[in-house]
Amino acid sequence: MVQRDVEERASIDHSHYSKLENDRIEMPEEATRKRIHRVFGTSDDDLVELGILVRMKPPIPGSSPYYTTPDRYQITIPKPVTIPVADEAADGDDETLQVSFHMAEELSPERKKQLKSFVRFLHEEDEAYRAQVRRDAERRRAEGIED
Amino acid sequence: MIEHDVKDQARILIDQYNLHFRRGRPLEYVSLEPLEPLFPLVVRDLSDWGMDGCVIPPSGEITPSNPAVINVHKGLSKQRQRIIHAHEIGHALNDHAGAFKWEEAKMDLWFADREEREAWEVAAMLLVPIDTVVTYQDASRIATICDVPEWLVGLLTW
Repeated sequence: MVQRDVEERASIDHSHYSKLENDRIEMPEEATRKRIHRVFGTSDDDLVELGILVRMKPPIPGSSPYYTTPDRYQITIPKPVTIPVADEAADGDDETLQVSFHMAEELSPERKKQLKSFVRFLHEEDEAYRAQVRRDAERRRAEGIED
Repeated sequence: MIEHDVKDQARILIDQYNLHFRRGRPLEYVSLEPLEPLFPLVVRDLSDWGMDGCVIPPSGEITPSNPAVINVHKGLSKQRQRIIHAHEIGHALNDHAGAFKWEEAKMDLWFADREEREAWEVAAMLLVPIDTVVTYQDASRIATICDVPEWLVGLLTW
């Protein structure tokens, strides 16, 4: 069977089918896959066996399984880097904010320092935001305004 | 897979803040605005670290007077900011020690990571109403209707 036959039998436009053939479409829609399967007598489960698709758990019990491409689910798990943010035992406060970073590459000591400083900045900004929220709430309460 | 109590918390948020309904009618496009008192969105420049968003959950319970501030990168589209907002809420609800989402180009890299997946599962719960799933059943259609990536629909579990 030549490409033109498949296109005709699956009722798929020539340019669209060419894109599929040349991997320019990562994941054909379910309706398109069904039409092609009908021509070849195959199913998405065959593509799962070939490692082209992966079968996902259906969103709700009883509904159809959901398929996607394996490259969306694969890959190396990067090594987590944990950086204690607060200065050790600074002003007697031993609370240390632990932030896990999942970096694809190892950070240089200088970059680690910058990251630590950035996270501390974010944390302080967040704290300032929360303090402002509380002040606003107190002011509204004092003025007898209900939230 | 996220713990049941996190799922319960997400369900409680959805119910209490009426996230999936407006005037008693089911919504398809979900706005996270009702959650702003608990998870306020702060848009800032995160480009130096290539981040889409980040959250450092506060110590103690998340309440309107002790909110978890969600930082998202200003360079993202509004659509993307909403999805990252939901994702970071997922980190906060899962009580991840502090989590950062890298740029989309590295999406696959983070997807395999347990904490990232858990956060995306909560994002799916928040942004994809179960009524929409029941009505349309087809992941691609649901994704279009809810304005979310298709893979996010595939992560939805209730």
